[in-house]
Amino acid sequence: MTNLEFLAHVELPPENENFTMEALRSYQLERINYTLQYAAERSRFYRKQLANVKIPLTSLAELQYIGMTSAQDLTENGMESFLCVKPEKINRIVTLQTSGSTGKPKRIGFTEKDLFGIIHFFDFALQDITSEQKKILVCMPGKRENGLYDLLSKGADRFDAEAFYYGSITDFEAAANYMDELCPHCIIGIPMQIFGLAKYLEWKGRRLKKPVETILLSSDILVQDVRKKIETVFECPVFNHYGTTEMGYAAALECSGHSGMHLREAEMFFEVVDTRTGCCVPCGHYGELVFTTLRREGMPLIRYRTGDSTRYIPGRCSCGTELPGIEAPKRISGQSITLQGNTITLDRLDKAFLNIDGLLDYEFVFVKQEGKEFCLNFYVWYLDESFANENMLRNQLKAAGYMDLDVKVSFYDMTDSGIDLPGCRGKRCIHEGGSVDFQYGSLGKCMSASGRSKSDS
Amino acid sequence: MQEEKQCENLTCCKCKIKLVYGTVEFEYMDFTFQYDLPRCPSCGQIYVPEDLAAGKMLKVEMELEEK
Repeated sequence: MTNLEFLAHVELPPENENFTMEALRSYQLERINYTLQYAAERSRFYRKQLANVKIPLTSLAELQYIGMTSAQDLTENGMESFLCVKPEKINRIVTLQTSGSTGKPKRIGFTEKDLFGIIHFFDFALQDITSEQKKILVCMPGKRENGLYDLLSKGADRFDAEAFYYGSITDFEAAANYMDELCPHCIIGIPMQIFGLAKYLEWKGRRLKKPVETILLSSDILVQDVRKKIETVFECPVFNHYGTTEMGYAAALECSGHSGMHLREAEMFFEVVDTRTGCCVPCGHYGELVFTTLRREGMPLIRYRTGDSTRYIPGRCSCGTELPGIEAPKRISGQSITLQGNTITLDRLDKAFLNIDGLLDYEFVFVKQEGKEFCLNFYVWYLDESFANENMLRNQLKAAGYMDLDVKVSFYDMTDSGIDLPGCRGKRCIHEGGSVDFQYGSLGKCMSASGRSKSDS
Repeated sequence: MQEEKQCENLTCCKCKIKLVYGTVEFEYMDFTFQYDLPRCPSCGQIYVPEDLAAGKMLKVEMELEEK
């Protein structure tokens, strides 16, 4: 039994001696009915949203006919409309800046009990990739109380492992030195930062003093070439993780079979739905990942749209669990854009550029300039200027099928920009809309994605 | 000793005396802020105007509420 399966099993009524999917689904239906009733009675938003819903549901399939909750619902109605407890019971709030037209942030509130649920999950999930007495180095930002690092650290404490905070990697040499000093067994980081570190170590012909045993990557899409490079340089297995703040940071973890991710089924019920109808798509088909919290006290969410696309992987996972597997979710929007007659896809750009020696990350910025045609600026971050080769980049662009794309190439190496890489500022996607005038210094503020094009249309 | 400025239009509903302006310390997410606000000289209860609570204070809170 895997830890995730065990975690789901311990929530089942005691008469279920063995874990079965049937027992899990029955538990989920019971918790969904509890949540629907709880939210309809206590939350201003759901009182209205669920006014015509007949509770209890008699099957999980009935859930798909209930209206979904969107990120826009959160920003427009505010956290207070979603709260099911008095505000003073909210122990931690996370505010997420959104890129939507209203510019209003999303705020998610957690009670102490909700935070305990997250720690409980981290305890079990971390034990899937590391074990007691091990050192876990967290290379992600956020060290405040009950923030991501703090909760990870509390989860690690529970099985006698120890988490250490490093934060965002802003200097590869310093990060490598720290790793040599600490000798962590496990690193938790952001894909493009650990990818940059891998390329740096390779360039310097340097190996960490003590090899890392596992790497857990989170908070962004894990591109296949990025994974391969990290696995090769660090010579250890890489595990992908998926989660959003609305989900309580964690939702799915790649298993030892490395063929997909398993979901946090004891805490949430997941559906993969048709974005137009909101109804579930058949197993194996792509759709939007939607979740309903099963045990959230402060701010339960019902059929919350993640904006991410995935599919259930048919058949049983090679890791042996009965829990279904999903493909690593990707943003639905921001995967392609049509510019100058070319449909540019993020996948093709990544394949064309991420394997280039010394290249750390890249960014396309589409700017409509007054009195001029569109201008496509292509910014490339390198380890060192000796890698910068404009002709080669243009050839790669052509080889990727973008023959007619007129771009202006600019290079940055670590001494120009430090390693404030676009991929470290947010999720990889093609971002449309945003600033009109191009100014490099303002990019980090108005944009938060890499490998993207930006238009003001 | 500096004389505390009385707040003419606000009265403490518990102590029935006029509030006075004083420096108040707020603590949130390990940060502390100071602000001059009306408070009751007897029980210490402070009055936070709605525009401050929903304006500047909320903005600062949200800035601190990172992951």
